[in-house]
Amino acid sequence: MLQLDQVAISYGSNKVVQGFDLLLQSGEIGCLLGASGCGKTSVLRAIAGFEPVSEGTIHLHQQTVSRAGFGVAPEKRKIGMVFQDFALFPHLTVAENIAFGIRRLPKTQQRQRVDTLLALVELQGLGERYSHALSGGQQQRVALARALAPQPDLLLLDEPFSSLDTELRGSLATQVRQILKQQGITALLVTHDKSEAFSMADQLGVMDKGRLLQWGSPATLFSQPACLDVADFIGKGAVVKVQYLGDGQISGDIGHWPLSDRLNLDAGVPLSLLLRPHQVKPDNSSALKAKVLRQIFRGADYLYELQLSGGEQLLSSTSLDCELRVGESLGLSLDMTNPLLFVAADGHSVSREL
Amino acid sequence: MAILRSSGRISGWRSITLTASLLLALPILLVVLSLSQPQWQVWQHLVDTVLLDYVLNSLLLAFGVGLGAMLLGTALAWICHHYQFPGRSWFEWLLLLPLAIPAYIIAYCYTGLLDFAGPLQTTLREWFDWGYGDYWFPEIRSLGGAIVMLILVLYPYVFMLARNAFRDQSQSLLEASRSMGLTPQQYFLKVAVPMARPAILSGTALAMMEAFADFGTVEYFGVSTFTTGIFRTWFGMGNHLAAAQLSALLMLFVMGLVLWEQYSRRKIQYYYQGHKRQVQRRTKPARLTGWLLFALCSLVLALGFLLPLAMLLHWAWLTGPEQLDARFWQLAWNSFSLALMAALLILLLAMLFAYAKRLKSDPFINAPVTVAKLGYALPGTVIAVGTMVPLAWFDKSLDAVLQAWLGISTGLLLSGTVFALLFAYSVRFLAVSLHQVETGLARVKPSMDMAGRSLGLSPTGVFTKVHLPILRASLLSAVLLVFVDVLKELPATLILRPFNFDTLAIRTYELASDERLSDAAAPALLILLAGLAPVILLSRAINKETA
Repeated sequence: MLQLDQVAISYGSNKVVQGFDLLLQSGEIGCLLGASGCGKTSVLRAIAGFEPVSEGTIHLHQQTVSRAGFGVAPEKRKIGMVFQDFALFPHLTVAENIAFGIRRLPKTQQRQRVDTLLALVELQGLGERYSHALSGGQQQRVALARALAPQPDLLLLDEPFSSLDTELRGSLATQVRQILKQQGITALLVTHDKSEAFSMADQLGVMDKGRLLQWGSPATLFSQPACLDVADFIGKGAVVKVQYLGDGQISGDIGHWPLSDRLNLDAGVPLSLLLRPHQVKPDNSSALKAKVLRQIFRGADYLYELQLSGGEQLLSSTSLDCELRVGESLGLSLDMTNPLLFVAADGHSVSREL
Repeated sequence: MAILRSSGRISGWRSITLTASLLLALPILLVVLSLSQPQWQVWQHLVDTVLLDYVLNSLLLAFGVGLGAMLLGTALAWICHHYQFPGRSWFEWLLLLPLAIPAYIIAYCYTGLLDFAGPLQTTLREWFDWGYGDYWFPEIRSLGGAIVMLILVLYPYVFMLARNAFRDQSQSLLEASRSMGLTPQQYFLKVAVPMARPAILSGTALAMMEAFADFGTVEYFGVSTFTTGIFRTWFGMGNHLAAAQLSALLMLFVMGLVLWEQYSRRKIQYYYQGHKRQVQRRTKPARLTGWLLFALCSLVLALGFLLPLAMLLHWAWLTGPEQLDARFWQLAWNSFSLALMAALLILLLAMLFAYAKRLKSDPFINAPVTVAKLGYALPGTVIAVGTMVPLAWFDKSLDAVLQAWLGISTGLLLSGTVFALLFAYSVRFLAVSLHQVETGLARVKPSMDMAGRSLGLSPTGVFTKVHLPILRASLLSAVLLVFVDVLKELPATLILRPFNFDTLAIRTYELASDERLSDAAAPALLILLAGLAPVILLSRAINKETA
């Protein structure tokens, strides 16, 4: 449905995106996740036709819409877009905004479609208001309805929830996903907020410095990150330095640990081990000792910042009945069933010999 | 940005925009360049005779007006902001009305009122049975008189900006200050005024620029300042280069003010960041104090607006029937059509520049536009001189070339035509129009362009269906503001107008100069009434902000 092939985008001599591949099937919701300035919005603008590509191609329905020196005009692409600032037209009412993209249809049909969409986004009865009289969440839903009105082949959402309150964000993201799924719409979202990405996306990609680091389901990205940057971006964790001992064991401040699989690496290679808080548990029978640096109450659990005797720091999440004092010393057990190991030199995930 | 990205058209637009911006910057640049050819003889003469007068009087006028407008404007702004007294909400916009009256017209009114033969002195003489020379009465036609006249019509600049600044100070700020032990008086002196200082200074600088630029008042009162000096050097001595150099010197003073104003303005943004604030609650003063405040505001309103208006109405009543002849309507037609032409032309230029900037920020265009925008700060006399020089040069060169080649004399093709006037107005008022267009365009976010395109509009469609509807109000006020500014403009029109081409402002000036004050009332009244429109627009915009 949507296919990007080795796309590069440049501003002058500055390449902001390069070697970008992406495939999105009909009816899927994809998401590009990355820090601001990583080039994710440029990709979105290129797909919409607002940014020319300097290399590669963009296909929509097997049709080339962009390649170097050529681009189908944005209004001819049948792509809907929802913007970070919603971009509602201030001189039009809600209903007129929604009807803007279908102004060529007969009036009665327009009215029907507007009513259907207002019901879909649960804004019945607000059609005659102006956008400045609506709350942020309502404006967001009007923007969605407006983008959906012409029944686009593809919907692009540019940081659609970032100007809303944190609380509203979660609920609205779920609601929007429901609407998109119910209507069978193919959509691509960009965001810097991973919880937003998790609650919206079927397929997720992490971008950094103009490149797509990894593309896959959220679960794959969480459990099998391709590199340390992805792992770090997707979830909290602490990185500790270890060394590969050559015989299926690693060692470091955390002691010696056998791995379930042998690694295709030379002995002595420095590695980075990412330990997520749930992989680190207090265990007083363990020989691995640490000191509590800080306690953070998170409502459902505690997050502890711990320091090993060698100086490395770890994060541990514990249930609320496990209360430790700052400065207290404790033993730790590590869950090493699926360790996230990366080559320290380049951050790539270590490929395992199976 | 994204709309209009088709390269061929862009380069065509770019060259038009570039040419227009360079042309508009030309008069100002030429005035500056004139300094490279010093006219020692004329300067020696000027230094020996009047230059010191020009400098001193201009400075005294500007600083006197600045100080007066600052004190009066700030005081009124604080009163209207802080106290709940009878008529307060009315005074918030009534006190802006003096802006509608050009300074030279208020000067005529007060001269008629306070002169030896005026009703006030006549009445005094009758009451006390005095004769000529028996008593002392302040001479209105003096530097002091000019300062008072200008304060009366220019204080609204400070009033308006200071009031906005006070309004932006939150209730919590007041409460925090009070909880730290400040009395309301101390709050005013130690928090409110220091916080509003950038706004107050910005308004003061604007009033001072107007004072430097004033020609009509000082000319009528016989006070020698730079502007009258330039006029005399140009026409009286016929030395255009020396006039240009005097203009350059005056420009130096004004540029200082412009820098100061911009510096203050930048600070305004810095002082007032933050989100929605709770508006401060007003204090209800004692009953008598409340009425005293009412009386004070009424007095300023009467002096700055009602009295001059009454005077004009009275005169117009006396002379109206004979004044309102065919000649008068011709005059009105000249003025209104000229002002409308200028307003539309300037709107076109402003849109050209605003869009050029929006589509692609281009230093080659931005730099000349920045220079041209300074035109608003410059006195009309300076701009007239800067306009005359290149036009005269162009006419002479063209004439010489055609004489030599074809034996045809074109004479003066551009100088002394409506073209020269429109050109000078464009330099002087571009900033007004551009500000409106840019403010309006800022409301059209780039994402709206993209939304329009993704909903099936072509670039032209985005312009007509999204931009124009959103811009409509801004474009209208751009036209209206320039229209009225042109209508009121005196010195540049006086210097550049075609032979025998009169406008309302010129006629008012001429009649008043001939001591036919009552005959001048009808055209003056028409200018004043037209001037009310932008003031009402302004107060409505402010009210909307408050609501």
